[in-house]
Amino acid sequence: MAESNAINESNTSESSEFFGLLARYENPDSLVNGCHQARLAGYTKMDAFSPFPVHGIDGAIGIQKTKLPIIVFCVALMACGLGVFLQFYTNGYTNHSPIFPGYPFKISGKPMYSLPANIPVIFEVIVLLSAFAAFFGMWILNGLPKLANPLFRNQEFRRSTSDGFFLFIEKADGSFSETGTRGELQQWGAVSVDRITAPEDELQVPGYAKLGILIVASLILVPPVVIYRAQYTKNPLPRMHVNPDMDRQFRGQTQDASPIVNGNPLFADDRVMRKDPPGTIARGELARLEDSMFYHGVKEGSAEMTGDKPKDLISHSVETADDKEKAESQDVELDWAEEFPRQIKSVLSANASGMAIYNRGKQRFDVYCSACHGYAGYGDGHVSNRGMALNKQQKAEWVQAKSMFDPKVMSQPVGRIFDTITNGRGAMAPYRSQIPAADRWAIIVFVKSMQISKTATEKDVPQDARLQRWEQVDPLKNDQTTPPPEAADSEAADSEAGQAEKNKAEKNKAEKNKAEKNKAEKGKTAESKAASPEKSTEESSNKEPSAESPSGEPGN
Amino acid sequence: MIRSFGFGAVMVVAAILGFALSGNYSISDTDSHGWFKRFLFSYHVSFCFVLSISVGCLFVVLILNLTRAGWGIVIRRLAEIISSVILPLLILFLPIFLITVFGGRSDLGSTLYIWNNPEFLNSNEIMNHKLDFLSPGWFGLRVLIYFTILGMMAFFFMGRSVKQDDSGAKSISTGMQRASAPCMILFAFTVVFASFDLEMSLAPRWFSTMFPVYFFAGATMGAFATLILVSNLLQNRGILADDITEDHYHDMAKLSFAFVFFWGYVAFSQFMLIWYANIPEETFWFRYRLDWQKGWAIVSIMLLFGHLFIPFLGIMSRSVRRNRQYLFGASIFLLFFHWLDHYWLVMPQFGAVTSGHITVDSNEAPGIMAFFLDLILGVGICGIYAGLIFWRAGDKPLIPVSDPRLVESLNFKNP
Repeated sequence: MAESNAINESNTSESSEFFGLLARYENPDSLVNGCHQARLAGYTKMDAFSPFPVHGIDGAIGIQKTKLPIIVFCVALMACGLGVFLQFYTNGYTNHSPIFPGYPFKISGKPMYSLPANIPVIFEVIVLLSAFAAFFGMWILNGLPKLANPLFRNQEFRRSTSDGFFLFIEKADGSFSETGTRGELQQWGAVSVDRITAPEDELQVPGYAKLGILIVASLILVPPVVIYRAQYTKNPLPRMHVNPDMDRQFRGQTQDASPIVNGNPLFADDRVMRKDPPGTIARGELARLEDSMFYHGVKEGSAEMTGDKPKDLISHSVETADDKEKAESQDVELDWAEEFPRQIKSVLSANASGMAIYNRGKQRFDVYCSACHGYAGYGDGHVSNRGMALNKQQKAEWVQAKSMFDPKVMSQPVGRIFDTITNGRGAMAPYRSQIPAADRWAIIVFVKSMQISKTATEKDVPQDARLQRWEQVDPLKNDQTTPPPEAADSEAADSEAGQAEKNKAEKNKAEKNKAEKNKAEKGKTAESKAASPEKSTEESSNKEPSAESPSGEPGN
Repeated sequence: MIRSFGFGAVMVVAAILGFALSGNYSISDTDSHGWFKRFLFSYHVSFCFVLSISVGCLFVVLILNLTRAGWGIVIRRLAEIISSVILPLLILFLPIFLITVFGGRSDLGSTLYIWNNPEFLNSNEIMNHKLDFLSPGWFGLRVLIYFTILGMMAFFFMGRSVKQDDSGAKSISTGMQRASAPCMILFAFTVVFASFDLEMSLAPRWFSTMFPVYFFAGATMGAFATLILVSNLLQNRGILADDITEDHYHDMAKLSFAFVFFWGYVAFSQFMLIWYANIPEETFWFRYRLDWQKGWAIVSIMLLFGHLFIPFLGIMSRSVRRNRQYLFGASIFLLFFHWLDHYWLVMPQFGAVTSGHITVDSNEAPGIMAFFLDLILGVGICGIYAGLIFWRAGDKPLIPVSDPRLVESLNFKNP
C-alpha cells in the first residue's frame, strides 16, 4: 500500500481525476493468470499491456473476436450494390425516371447497361469502400483517435515497452471499488498497484491546440473560395496550360490548312482533310455505294454508280459547288429513281408506320424546308418572302424558292427530288449532312402527299377510307382548330402567307369531307392527304412514277 | 500403387468401351473415327487436368524455395513428389503425341489438333501465318522440350531434397534456394508456351495472351487443393498426423483462396477485353462457350459460381480455413471444378468443323451420357496418376526429415 502511493507526483495533485488501478506483474504467466482471475471476478473494463504478444492473453482477458470482418463484409456488399447502381444510373438506364435520368450515351455500340463492362468499376468500389471500412472501423472499434492516455503519466508504465506486464482496471467497471480491487489485484500476484490519475486542467484541450484547429479549418476553406472566385473572374489572361503538349497537339483540325513541314506543306493540295485513297471505301460507306436507290435516288446499276465514289462525298461538292453556274451546267439528269426505295416502300405499306413516316417527313419539312419553301410548300417561307421584299428595294437578288406545285417540280421523279435535297440546286444548299437519307425520303413522302393532294380526285381515296369518312366524319364537328373553310380554293391559299399553312392539313380535311358530302367533282379540293394520309402516302409511292406516265389520270 | 494403376486402367478401358459403344459421335460424313475423336478429347481434358496439378505443385516447390518459406517445409515433400511425375506423365501423353506427330497433316493427325487438318488450313488464310509454328514435327519437339525442362526441374528439387534427408546439410537448402530463382523464370516461359501448345492450339484461329496466366492460376489453385486433399487423406490414415497442423491447413487454404480469386480475376480480364473489343476473330471462342443451345453457357455459369463465387465465400473465413474436415470437402469441390475448367477449355473444340468457319458448329451437344463417360475417364486417369505418384513416393519420407528448418515449420503458428 505504502509503496504504491508514492509513485507519481501528479497522483498527489488535489484537483485530479481518478481513472483506475494499474497493476504490474512480474512475468507474462502471472499477467495471464491475473487477467484470468480478474475476468473470473467479473471485471470487464480492463486492459493488459505487455512488451510483446503473449499467447492466450486475449482469451484470459476475455477479448471478444473482432467484429471488423463482419463490418467489412457488410460494407463490401453495400459497395457492390452501390457500384451496380452508380453505373446503372450514370449509364442512363434510368433514363425515364424523373429523379435520376442519368446520361444515356452509347459507347462502343455496347448496350446501355452491360454487366461485363461494369464489373471492374464495381470491383474497385468494393475494394475502396472495404478498405475504408477496415481502416475507419478499426479506429472506431479501438476508440481512436485517442490523443492522450492517463496511463502515460505513470512512470512505471513506461516499462511496458521493455519488461513490464500490466493490467489496468478502469474505475468505470461495475465491480470496481478502489480498496477491494486493490486487494484483489495484489492477491492475484501483482507486484505493485498504482492509482492512475490525471490533473483536471490537463484534461481540457489546450489553447494552442484550439488555435491550431482554427488555423487548419480556415486553411481548408481557401480552396473552395478560390474555386468560387475563379468562376466569376474577369481575368483576361488565358488559362494556365498544365499540359501544353496536350493542349497544343500537332494535328490538323477539320478544315485547317495543311501544316508546314520543312518549309513545304505536308499535303500538296494544302488541305488537312484528305480524300480517301482511290479504290477504298470508308467504314459504313459500302451501303451507300451498293444501295444507290436509297442513298442517291438513282436507279440500280445506272451510270452514276459506276465510279468508285458516291456523288455526294464532301470533297466532290467542294470542288464543284463553288461555282454556281458551273454546278448548274453540270446538272446532268441521271437515271432517277421513279419510285421509293424498298426500305421506304415497305414502311409505307404498313398503315401505322406509313403514317409515322408521313408525320416524320412533315416534321422534318417544317424544320428544314419551311423556312424558304413555306409550311405548305408554296415557296413562300419567311426567308424567301424577306428575300423577295429586299429584291423590291433593289437590295438583293433573291431567287424565289420553288413551289412544290411548280409544274416542273410536280413532274420530277422522287429520285430527282431526293438529289435536290441531298446536293442542292441553284441557290439551295445541300442538306445531306443535316438530314439523314431516311429523313430525306420521309420529307419526299410528305412533299408527294402535298402534290397529290393538289390534283387528287375522289377516286384517289381508297374505297374503304371513303366510306369510313362518309359515315363517321361530321365535318363541322371534326375540326377542332380549323377556321371556316373559305380557304377551300388552293389558289387562294397559294397567295396566303406561309403562316396560314400550318393549319392547312386540318382545313383540307374539312374541305375534303365537304366535297365528298356534296359529291362535287372539284378535284382541287379533294385533299386525299388529309382524308387518309396513310393511304395517300402509300399511293404516292405507287403512283409516283405516274407523274410522268402517260396514264392520264386526272391527278397528272 | 498396383491397385491404383489397376483401378485407373479399368476405368479408362471402361470409358473407351463406353465411347465406342455409346453411339455415333461423328460430326460429318467424312469423319470416320467419331467416337475415337470424342474419346481423345475427353482424354486430353483429364490429361491436362493432372498435368496442370503437377505443374502447379512444381510452382509450389519453387516458390517455397524462392521465398525461403519456413511454414511450408512439412508440405514441400508432398509437392515435390507430385511434381516429380511430370516426366512420367509423358507416357500418358503418348497417344496424343504419336497421333499428332506421326499422323502428320492428315485426317488422323488432326484427330485432336485441328491445325493438322489440310482442309482446315486451306480454308483459313490466317493459318498461313501459324503454319510453321504449328507443324507436327516442331510441335512434337516443343512438347518434348517442355516435359524435359519441367521434369528435370522437378527431379532436381526432389533429388536435392531427398539427398538432404541423409546428410541434413544446410548447404543443400541454400543451393535449392539459389537454383529456384532461375528455375522460376524458366518455369514461367515453359508453362506459357506449353499452355499455348497443349490447350490453346486446340482452337488455332483463336489467340489470347492471357491464356497462360489463366492456365497457371487454375493449375496453382488445383495444386493447393491437391495438397490439402493429400494431407487430409494421409492424416486420415494416421500418417503425418502430428506434423501437418491446422496452421499449415490455414496457410494452404489461404493460398487456395488467393488463387481462386486470381483465377477469377484472370478469367474475367480475358473475357472482358475480348468482349469489349468485340473482334470476331476473338469473340467466336467465347461465343460458342456462352451458347445456351449447345449447353456450354451452363458450364460457363457453373464455372463462374463453382470456380469463383462459391469457393470465394466458402473459404473466406478464418475458422473454416482451420477446419480440416471442411477443407477436405472444399478441396474435392475445387478439384472437380478445376477439372471442369479444363473440360470447358478443351471440349467445346470437339465441335469445330473442318471447314473452318468462324462459328464452330456441329450437331453434337455434350450430352449427359457422354459427360458421365468423361467423368469415368477422368477418374481413371486420376487413378493412373495416383499410381504414378505412389510409385514416385516409394520409400521416401513424406516430409524432409533432415531439413534444418523442419522444427520451425512443425512449430509454425498462424497469427
